[in-house]
Amino acid sequence: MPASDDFVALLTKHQRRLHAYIFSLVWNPADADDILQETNLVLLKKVAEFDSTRDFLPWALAIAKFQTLAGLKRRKRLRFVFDESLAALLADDAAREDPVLEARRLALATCLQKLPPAQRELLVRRYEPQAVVGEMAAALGLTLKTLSDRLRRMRQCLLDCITRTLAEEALP
Amino acid sequence: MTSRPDLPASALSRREHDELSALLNTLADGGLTEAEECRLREILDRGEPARRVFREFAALHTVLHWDYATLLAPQRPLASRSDEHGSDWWPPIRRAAAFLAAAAMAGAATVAAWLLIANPAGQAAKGGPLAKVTQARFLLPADGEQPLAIGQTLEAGRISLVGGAVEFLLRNGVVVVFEGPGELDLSGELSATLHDGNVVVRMPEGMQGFVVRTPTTDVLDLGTEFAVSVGAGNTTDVQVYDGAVITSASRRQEPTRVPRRLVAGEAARFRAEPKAEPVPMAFRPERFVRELPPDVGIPLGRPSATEEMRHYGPARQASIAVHPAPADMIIDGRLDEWGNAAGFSGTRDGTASCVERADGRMMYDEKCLYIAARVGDPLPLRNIIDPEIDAGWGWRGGGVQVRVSTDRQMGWPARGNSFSYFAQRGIAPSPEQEESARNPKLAHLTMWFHAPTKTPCLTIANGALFGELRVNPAGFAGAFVPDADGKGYTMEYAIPWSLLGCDDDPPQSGDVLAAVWQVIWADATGRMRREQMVEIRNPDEPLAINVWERAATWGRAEYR
Repeated sequence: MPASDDFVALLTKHQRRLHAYIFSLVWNPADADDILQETNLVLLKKVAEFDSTRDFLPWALAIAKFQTLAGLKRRKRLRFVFDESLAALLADDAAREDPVLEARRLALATCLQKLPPAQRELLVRRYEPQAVVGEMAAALGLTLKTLSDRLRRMRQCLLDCITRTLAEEALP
Repeated sequence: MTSRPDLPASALSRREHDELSALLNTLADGGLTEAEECRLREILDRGEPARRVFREFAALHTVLHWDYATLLAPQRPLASRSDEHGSDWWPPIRRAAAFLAAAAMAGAATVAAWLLIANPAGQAAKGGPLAKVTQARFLLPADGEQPLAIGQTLEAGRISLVGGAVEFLLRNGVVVVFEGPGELDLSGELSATLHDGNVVVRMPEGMQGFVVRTPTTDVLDLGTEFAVSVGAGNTTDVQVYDGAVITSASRRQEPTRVPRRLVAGEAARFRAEPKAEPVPMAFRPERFVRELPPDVGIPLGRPSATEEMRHYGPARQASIAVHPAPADMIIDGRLDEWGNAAGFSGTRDGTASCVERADGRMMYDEKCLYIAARVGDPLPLRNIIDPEIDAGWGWRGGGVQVRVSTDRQMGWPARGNSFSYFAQRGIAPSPEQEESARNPKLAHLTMWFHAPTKTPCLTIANGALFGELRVNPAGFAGAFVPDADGKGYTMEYAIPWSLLGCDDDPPQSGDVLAAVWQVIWADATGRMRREQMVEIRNPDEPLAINVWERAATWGRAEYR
């Protein structure tokens, strides 16, 4: 059964969330990309099973969870950080929290612009595609621990900023 | 959806929050130990507040990955990767809301393409290394990079080439041919990122869904063979040989470009500017390296025709029949038992009038390989090379060399190059190639008549190394008989399979294995090689390779 335009639109809309969910389970960008791709294929094959009166995201996340587990087993080299029941719980949370997380993502764009240039550049290097923290530390002449501490502080800074921004936006 | 009951929710203490934060950061940056994983699970099991911290952290981390180009990409070149890519493809920082709107517009058509994708069951990835090097030609690795060798296995990572081309077979059957100069990241079984250079992807029958990412364009395979090139200014060219692909703007670029479908016989150029429309191009099948030839040998230099004749003796025959031997074989140099067991016949220079000629024959039974030849030689049987002193040089004074493979598993063509073959060509042998070079079922037989002692001699070297040389080993029988007119001789040998390392599994009727002949003529002193001829040679191998250094040059020995 071919996917309807509505189904395609839903799948398109939720790509980011699916990727984020998969990523939060495997914590590896390349593997997350591959598993997202596999998940998309499965979702399109299962289009007939989708009940359009229900929410798309929980259904898609359940399939993403299954694909992630299967993908990790196939790859063998990876460990699954969370057990199955915890992964399912996180999927439930992710579906429920979708609007909140969208708001946080938008706030992040503002917070990033407030970062001092040096911190921003560090973040750029860290999230550059295929970046490896160990290599980055060596290139910067830092110990791994020093770099990790800096990244941790910067992420906490961003998380605090996001919380503050959302709180300010909520004020009347 | 879940069977795990939430423990009573309670706020995290500052200490617990800090510990959780540290664990999540370690998880994000790699290096979480199993003990730390257990601890992370323990904390997350404590309830919703901990999972909220997890969700918020994971959301931050994944957004920074997913939206790198939109949220983080530098407006000025970075010291490392921007230098490699140029800075022009990085889009300006934009508000995330604008990104979302654009993504919603452009994404639908891309996803529509997925409707056509279906990886069949049974094509699931297997374990083991991600890729294996199956062919390589004229490889020039980038500075500081290790050379790639055929047979070498690879995990995900970057391959940098200054020149040449290499073919990989991914573990799911996808074939990738990468041509330098350029850089390619093999990311996984279904994706690769091409930073620079050319790549051709060929999918196994029935499989679809491979993505080649470039700085500006994602090319999604729909069951096909296609080529992608990244050139100056990150221009991306796509050419489809078979099937179809969907091209869309790189996910890390502002996705304002409408996805396009290209089918077999079409080609298009995608410029780096985000809103630039693709430009149709002429389809030029020869533009990309789609397949690398099999591992044919590499000639050394460009010898003249005369040199080729002297050094390599152009073979005119590619196979020899190895006939079953009768039960009553007597090794006396008379060849009475050989009957109609035809082999090969030829002269040194190919002319009928040449007096330097050889008729070579081979037979076998369950115990021995039999070799016989009638050799036209105006200066016959004068070899003075002493097997007890100079056994390795026995060929110099004239005689017959036959190199055989008895490896039934390997079949034909044989594999195995001497280390000198690699060294002279500046190639590092792979472990697999080193193993082939030591194959005890490759044997180099040198047979000559030691004139001073009137002794038929035999040396055997195994593998492709000429390591330990066995001289006149017990068990063989040999005989030389001069022609009555003094213009040649007949030789006959019986060599037990046990001396050839295969008495546990000797060649059988129907086998096609490898063999090559060299007949050597010496000067009047019987100590210096004068001429030679090579027969039974693999015509697919370049001529200017010595047969002793590469078993693939050996022709077919067809056991009847």
